[in-house]
Amino acid sequence: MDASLQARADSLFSERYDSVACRTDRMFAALFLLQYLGCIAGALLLSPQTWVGGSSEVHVHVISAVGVGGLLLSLPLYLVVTRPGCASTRYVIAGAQMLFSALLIHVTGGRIETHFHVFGSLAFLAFYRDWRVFLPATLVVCVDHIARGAIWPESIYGVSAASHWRWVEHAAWVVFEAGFLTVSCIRSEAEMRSLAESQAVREGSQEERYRGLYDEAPVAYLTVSPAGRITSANARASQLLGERVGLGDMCLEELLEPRPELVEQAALLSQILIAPGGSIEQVHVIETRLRSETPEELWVRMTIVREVGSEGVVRESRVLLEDVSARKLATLELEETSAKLREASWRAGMAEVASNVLHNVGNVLNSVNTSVGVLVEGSEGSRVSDLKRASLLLREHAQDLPAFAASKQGRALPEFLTQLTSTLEEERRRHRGELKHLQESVAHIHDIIASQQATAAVGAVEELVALDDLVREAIALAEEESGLKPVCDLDSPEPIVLDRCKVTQILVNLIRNGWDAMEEVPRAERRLEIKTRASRGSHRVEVRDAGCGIAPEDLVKIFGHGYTTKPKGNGFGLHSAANSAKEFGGDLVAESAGLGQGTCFTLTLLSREVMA
Amino acid sequence: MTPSPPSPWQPWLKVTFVAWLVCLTASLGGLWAYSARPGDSGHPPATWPEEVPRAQAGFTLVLFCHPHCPCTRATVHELERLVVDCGGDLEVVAYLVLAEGVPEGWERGPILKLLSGLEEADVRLDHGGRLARRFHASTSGTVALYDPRGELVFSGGITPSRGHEGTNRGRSAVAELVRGERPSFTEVPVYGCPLRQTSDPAHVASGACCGR
Repeated sequence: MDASLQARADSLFSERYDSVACRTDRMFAALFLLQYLGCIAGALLLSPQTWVGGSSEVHVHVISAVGVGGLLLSLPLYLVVTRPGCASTRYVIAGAQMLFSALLIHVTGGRIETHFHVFGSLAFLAFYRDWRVFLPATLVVCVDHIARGAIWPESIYGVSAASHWRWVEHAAWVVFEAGFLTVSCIRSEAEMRSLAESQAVREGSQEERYRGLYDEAPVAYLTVSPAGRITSANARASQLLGERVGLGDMCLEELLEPRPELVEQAALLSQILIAPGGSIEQVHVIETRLRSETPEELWVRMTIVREVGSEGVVRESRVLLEDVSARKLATLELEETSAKLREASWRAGMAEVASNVLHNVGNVLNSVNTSVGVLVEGSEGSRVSDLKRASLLLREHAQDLPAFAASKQGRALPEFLTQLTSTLEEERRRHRGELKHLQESVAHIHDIIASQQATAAVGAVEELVALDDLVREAIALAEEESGLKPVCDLDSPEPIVLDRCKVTQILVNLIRNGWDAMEEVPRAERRLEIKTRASRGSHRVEVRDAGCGIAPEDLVKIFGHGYTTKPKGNGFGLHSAANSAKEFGGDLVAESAGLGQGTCFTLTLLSREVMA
Repeated sequence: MTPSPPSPWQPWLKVTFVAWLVCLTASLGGLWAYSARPGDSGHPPATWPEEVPRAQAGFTLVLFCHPHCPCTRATVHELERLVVDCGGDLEVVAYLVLAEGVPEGWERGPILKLLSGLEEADVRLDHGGRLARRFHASTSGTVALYDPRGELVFSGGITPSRGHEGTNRGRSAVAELVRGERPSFTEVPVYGCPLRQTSDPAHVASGACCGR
């Protein structure tokens, strides 16, 4: 057997023996505790008290069992905990075990049966498979017999005049058993060593086969020392990495491309290779870029398997390298294309968003324009000039007011002022209504812009609101210039979660379209019906007009972007409304029996539970 | 074979080991010394007291026991062996000495149970320790052997130490005397609990409590 195999065999033998010694130490620790308890129980059972006439005290045996027994097991237990597997620990245990036999024999009154404890203990000590443990055990027995034989022979031999060599007879029986057990231990050791050598040889042949596989493997394979240095590389690794590896003084992280974004990866790699076992998982996968000797980028997937010893220290790491350059470059290219596509989509989306905003704002601006027109007309035809004339008349007759009051003109003035006051109050009420309408329209424009900004930034703003309330709001916003009012049949009062602004925009859109579709219809025949219904989580709004209707062939493209039947339309309104309805998980459909038959738009919204 | 790498003990551990060994030796030594300390052997009368009934045919062994003395278990076990050794030539009278003032039934202890199992023994109660005083017995386990003529031929204990069984001089001497041989010893130490309180003048004078 060559030196390396012998070293491996010694290592295996040592490892196994340590395991046996530690296990036997633990067994003796348990045995000591049991013996201690047994000794106390025996003392309490056999000699609990000592007597003088009618009075008694605790017997010395009980005190000794607790005190001497405790002292006896203290050092062995301490050594088992702090120095398990050490030779000195088992030698102390061997001596202490023999002394425990002496204590037990004494506490049980020197019973012959208790003497078997000595021989049983020797058999237990053989569990160590170390014949040296019999030396302290035998030594303790001999010293005990020699000392007591000299000082107090009767306590051990039963006679006061025993021979000075009587201890030899007693010790001989111990030596007799220990001798057999020693032979057994030596044979056991030889078997353990033989097994270790056989395993070392098997491992050697496996190592040889493994080496062949290692060199011829189609994957790149490196071994790395605990210091992070590359200790070996197979042929495929040399091919992949060039002649840089296999030098023995190169660190694995030095293979990485020196880029700022890879600095953290290099640090992580270093940590994985040398960190103690408990802190990091045993297998690690890292995808990184290595230095390349060619202009092409070299990307690898690195799988690191660490071999961690029982003491928690990394013994060696094995690294598999997989060339993933083609995939990585394809991924990068895909990501770049995807980014460009996103940019283009974003720009296109921005244009559509702008169209939507302009369209919706335009709708509301119509309402604003109407209100402003009403206010302008109202201010131009105001009766304030009549009030001015009345005040000038009074100023002219300031010096002769009694005479003026008695005149015909003067008598008519109070009636005139009363009528004027009534007219001006009516005028102010109308203006106030228009101003309120104007304020709401401006607020709606603000909402539209805020909604688009919110959508562009973090998504729609949703709130709990009743659909009927939204319909009423939309009717007010889309008020017809001629003052016609839609016919309402509203029956969806339950609040639901929805984007208030967008739904309002859709409704305003539909109502305005309805009025616009009836421009050619005589005023008396214009009729716009709005109906809301709620059923099983679905909320529906119908806007039905008696307008020009839609030809069947146009019904399929009515929601298309840019499609319109109105002379001044831009084709964004219905397109945007249909898109918004789909965003809510709902739907917008148009129905018409044909040209001149009117149109019905139905907006369906799903409550949040139904959508989920 | 010491496969584990040698791991030297730190100085403090060596000191601890030595201290442990010394304490252990001292405490075990003290325990053995306690067991080896005999009680008062007393000096039984040279002839069998006339007022005490006995069989006239052979040797009579009179034993005085404390009913609860754990050491006397060993004496009873040794007595069992002795009876077997003597082969029926020995009359055994065992007195359970009841101290004054003890409650009724106090005699029912482990010693009475053991003696009850010994058919050859005539077990009697000695109320107040009157007969024990008559035989000058102060220590539980005291034995006196009288020959067929009523003369004292042996006195002492029949255990090697306090509460310990095993071959001993007292048992050997009694067996030899009954067999008609001449023993090496006719007086040996006795090991056991004192039969009386230290306040007893006779007990104090004899130093019977020294075993405690």
